Amino acid sequence: MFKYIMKRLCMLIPVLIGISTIVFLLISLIPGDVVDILLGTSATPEAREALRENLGLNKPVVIRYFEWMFNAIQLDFGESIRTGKPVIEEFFARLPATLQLAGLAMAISLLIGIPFGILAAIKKDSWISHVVSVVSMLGVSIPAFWLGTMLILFISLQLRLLPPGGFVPFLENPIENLKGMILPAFTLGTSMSAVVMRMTRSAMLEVLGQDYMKTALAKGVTPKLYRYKHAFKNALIPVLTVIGIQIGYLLGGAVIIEEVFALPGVGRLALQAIYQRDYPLVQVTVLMFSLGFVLVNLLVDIIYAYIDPRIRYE
Amino acid sequence: MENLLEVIDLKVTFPTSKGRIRAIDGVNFKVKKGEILGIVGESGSGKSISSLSIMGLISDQGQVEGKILFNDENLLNKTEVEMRKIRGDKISMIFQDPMSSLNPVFTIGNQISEAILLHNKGVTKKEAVEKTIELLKLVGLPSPEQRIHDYPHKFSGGMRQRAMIAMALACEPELLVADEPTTALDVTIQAQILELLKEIQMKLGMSIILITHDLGVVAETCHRVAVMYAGHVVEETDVYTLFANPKHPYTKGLINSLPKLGSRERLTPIQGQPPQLYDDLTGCRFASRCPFVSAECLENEQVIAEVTKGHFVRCHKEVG
Repeated sequence: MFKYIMKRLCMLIPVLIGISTIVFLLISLIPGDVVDILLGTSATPEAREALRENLGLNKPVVIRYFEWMFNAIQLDFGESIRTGKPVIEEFFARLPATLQLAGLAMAISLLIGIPFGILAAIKKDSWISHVVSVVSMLGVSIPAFWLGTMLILFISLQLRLLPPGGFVPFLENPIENLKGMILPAFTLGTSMSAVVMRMTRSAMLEVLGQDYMKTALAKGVTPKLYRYKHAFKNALIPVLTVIGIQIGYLLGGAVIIEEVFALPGVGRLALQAIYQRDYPLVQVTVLMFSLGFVLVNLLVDIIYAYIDPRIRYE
Repeated sequence: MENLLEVIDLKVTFPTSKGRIRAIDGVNFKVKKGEILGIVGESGSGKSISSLSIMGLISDQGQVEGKILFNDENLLNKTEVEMRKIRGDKISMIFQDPMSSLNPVFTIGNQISEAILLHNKGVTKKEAVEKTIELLKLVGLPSPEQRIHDYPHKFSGGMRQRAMIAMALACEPELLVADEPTTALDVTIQAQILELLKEIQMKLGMSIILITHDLGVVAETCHRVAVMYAGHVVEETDVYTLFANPKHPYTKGLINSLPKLGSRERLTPIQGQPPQLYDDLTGCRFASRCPFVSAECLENEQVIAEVTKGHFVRCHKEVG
């Protein structure tokens, strides 16, 4: 197992190099550049040239890429062009809000998705099952930005129950923090819970039809053991795959949700960095997103082996 | 010998879009203490439905009527909670396909000791593990102390069926229902498993219902046989009489379609297909395939009657 994890971690290196190359090239393809944004269009050519030289933008892309790479290997990802602070610092300053948002959204989606998915599978032909199907269909179809906006309109602006946006660090004021997090986490969590619910339902239905479930009945197990021990542990395997993939979506969704609810998270940071052509910052946020995604999927693969004894990694 | 199980006029019907299917229609049979009863029949004859009725595992749509007396108590009157206490304890079951009948994510030891712990209050986990090892020894699994920690995928088909048998024996049941326990296994392993079942039956003195479509298995293992066709028991007798003096045309047909060692004779199969079991059936259900069919067969439903002592046949020609 240790060897397998090491192997997977080593495979991270080419992945990250690939991603950084693609991102670097893509950024240089975006029309407009940071000089326009920093100096405005009325600046003199001399001033523009001086700034370009200063930022190192006058060199060819390939050279810049290798310079960046050389520094990145030493964990120096450069400074933000706008603020002058190290980008890694900027990134980690914004990380808590995103982690909290993603974590809460995930928790909401599992708390809704798994119990209702199981219920829908057990009461296969009842109204509960149909309601679950319809709700999960809705959940998948409703775009997060629309749901977020509607929630702000009704719950924050009309009913004035929760703040429409903003972020208070948890350690500063836990209650205010949670109040601000409920709506964005709920918005992000609903569509994911719909996916988890559908997957749980179909995985459970499949497992319930297996021969070994008949064996369990013939043994005289209680309904509780039947559902949660014998069936759910088997159904968990495909559900886990979906959760792993959904985490990627969660990071992407965070960009939109953070923008809608004005949360100072990394998604919004990345968006701002792109608007402002803050190359080093874009580079590092994208790199971190992909690192997170790959690590989460590695974690999912490791959990697989614990749930399903048939899966063994060499 | 006393009757352990008595099935009286058992009827099981299922609603379908084309009307009610009468999967079992008035089945009677008895299992005495310490007896191996074989139930033979082709697919769809109702043999598995009979066994599932005994276990109380017919799905909610199915309607079960009649009586299933187990130690003189009607199992059909029991609640689900009462049945749960009987299942795996007094009556247990093994299934056709050992490859898919064990839960892949739990160890063999866990699955067997679960049965022990479910039905014996006050047994500790340690005692259950010891008992599990003992059971696995009984069914002839080599080095059970290590194998209890293995998952099913590390077992071969024969070993899995042994583990299934050990699980079924966990609470020393009075009745073991074996639903085609050797169908999915190699011929050599089949023989071993049948031998094991006979041996265990002798050792523990329980009764077994052995469901199969293989007359060879019946000849080797059973004391008495019930032949099922299209939801009816058409013939019931002891195993010697069945092969020496079969009465019902269907049984005769089955025996004629068995290959005989050393014989170069052509096999004579039974022509045609069994009928669909909807409500509008009239007359003898075997009539359309029966070589001895007469006008009367098409009109009246046949009743089962005793032709000689202990030999029951559902055919008027043999009775009248």
